[in-house]
Amino acid sequence: MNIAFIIDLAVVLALVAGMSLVSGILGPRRTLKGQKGLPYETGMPPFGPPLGRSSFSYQRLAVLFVVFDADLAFLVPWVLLRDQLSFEALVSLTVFILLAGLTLAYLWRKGGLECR
Amino acid sequence: MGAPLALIAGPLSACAGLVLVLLLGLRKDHPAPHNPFIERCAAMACTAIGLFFLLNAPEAARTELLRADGWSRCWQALFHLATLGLLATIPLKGERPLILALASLAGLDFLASADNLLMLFVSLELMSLPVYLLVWGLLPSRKSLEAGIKYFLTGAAASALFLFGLALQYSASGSFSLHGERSADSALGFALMCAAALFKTGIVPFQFWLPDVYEASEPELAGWMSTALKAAGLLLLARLLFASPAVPAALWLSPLAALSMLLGNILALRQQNLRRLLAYSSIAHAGALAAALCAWTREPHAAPAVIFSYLSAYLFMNFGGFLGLRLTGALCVQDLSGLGRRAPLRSAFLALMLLSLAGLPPTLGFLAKLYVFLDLLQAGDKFLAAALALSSLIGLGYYLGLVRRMYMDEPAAAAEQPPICSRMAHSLIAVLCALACMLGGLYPSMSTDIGSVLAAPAAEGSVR
Repeated sequence: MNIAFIIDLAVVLALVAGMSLVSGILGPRRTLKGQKGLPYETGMPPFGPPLGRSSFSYQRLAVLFVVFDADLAFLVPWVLLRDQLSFEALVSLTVFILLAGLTLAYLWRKGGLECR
Repeated sequence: MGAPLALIAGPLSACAGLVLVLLLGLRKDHPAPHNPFIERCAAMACTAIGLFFLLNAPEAARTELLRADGWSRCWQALFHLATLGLLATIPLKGERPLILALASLAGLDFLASADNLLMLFVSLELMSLPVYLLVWGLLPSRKSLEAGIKYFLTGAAASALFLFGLALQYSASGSFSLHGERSADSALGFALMCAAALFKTGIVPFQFWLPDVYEASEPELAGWMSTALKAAGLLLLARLLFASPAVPAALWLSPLAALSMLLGNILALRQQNLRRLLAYSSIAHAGALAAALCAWTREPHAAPAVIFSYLSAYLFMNFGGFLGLRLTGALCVQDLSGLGRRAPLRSAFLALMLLSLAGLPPTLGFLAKLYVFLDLLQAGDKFLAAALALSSLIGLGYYLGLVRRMYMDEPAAAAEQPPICSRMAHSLIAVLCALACMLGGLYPSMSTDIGSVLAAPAAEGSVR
């Protein structure tokens, strides 16, 4: 570490400390009120009630979509690669697709797909 | 695939029941709330068939993910037995709770035979997720919603702990095997996973969620959770402890076990709500089980049988205890006043269960506690043995207090008396629990007999 760097550091520190000190002694003092006191002057108020309730049925549809999607994701290789798959893989895929299909049918039957 | 039936007999029967209930549910759309008798019978039949297979298939097998031996079969049989009790007695307003209970049973079964960390995690989730829904949705109310959300959030935190531990162990050893290589990182990983297991078992310091959840759930569900899910947590803890590296379990587990036993029983002394009281008592019992686990890590011969006999005894007496609450309709301690005169048979049953939970001599609970005590002495763990004796003494305070209230206090005014439940299935299961608690107490070689079954056909290596 050379001497020039240390001098530079000392000068910078002294300057910053001095300016803060002088500003603190001489500067005007006022408390911020109203909009000026907020962290952000414009935009959403940071306090108050959050957004209103959103309908749960959208979420239910989203979850159901995941079931359907997983079903479909296995349906594609089941159809396209049926010649190359081993017997075990074919049976596993069929069982999975049937189970997911059964779940979907159950939900449909119980009115889970209706948007109310 | 190509796995022998022995590996998946348990979960397969649970899944078959699940599919059957789903198919039966396809018959009607938008049904009015009803008690689905056929669905209940189908679910129970599949669970019972699974139990029959488990008891009659002494064949060992092993794959990368699963293993079937005496140890896994015994645990699966315990889970099936507990779930049979739940399915027979659970109050239903539609078939969905049956589906959830069977899905959870499949998870429990996989947990018993899992031989791989990833499999352990998946089965842990399969076991827990339906239970959150059951706690909330069995008979939905504000209180059950609160309990369900509390349970879900804390349970999700426990799962996250397990996953963090899993990731650490994987990054340290490069495999999900339970018997992989060990390093400092994997020690931390196993510590995190053990924390998740402690949470599921409800051992201090992870016991805070338990009273709130049990208070808001139906007694049958709480009885099942306190037996089957606790057993599953303990099983997970045992698996991890025997796989985990250098840090001796006795160092950290024995103070926690002693704290659970003492804290559970001391806090139970002041409870007014009976379900909360049994919840705190179940924390104390979890502590006793953890103490047995400590003894096992020091003295690896007798202890698995001790833990298992304690758990099977606990299954009968605690499920019976919660069933007794349902049968007498009692919610808080005052409801028990003078019950002995109003409903003599029901109060005799509840009193028997309470005495068994307290560990008084002619009952099954005494025998189970005695095994743990002897085991602790044999392992040279005088500190834990003293804690067990002291906590049993404190426990007598409230168990006997309830019995005294039933038989010696004046009954409350007729208008304030809770209604009595009189369903056939409840009475039948109650008789079974009572018989098990009375006759089991006269069968002192239980532990060694169970031990021989547990150790019977191990695929390779020991029962661990």
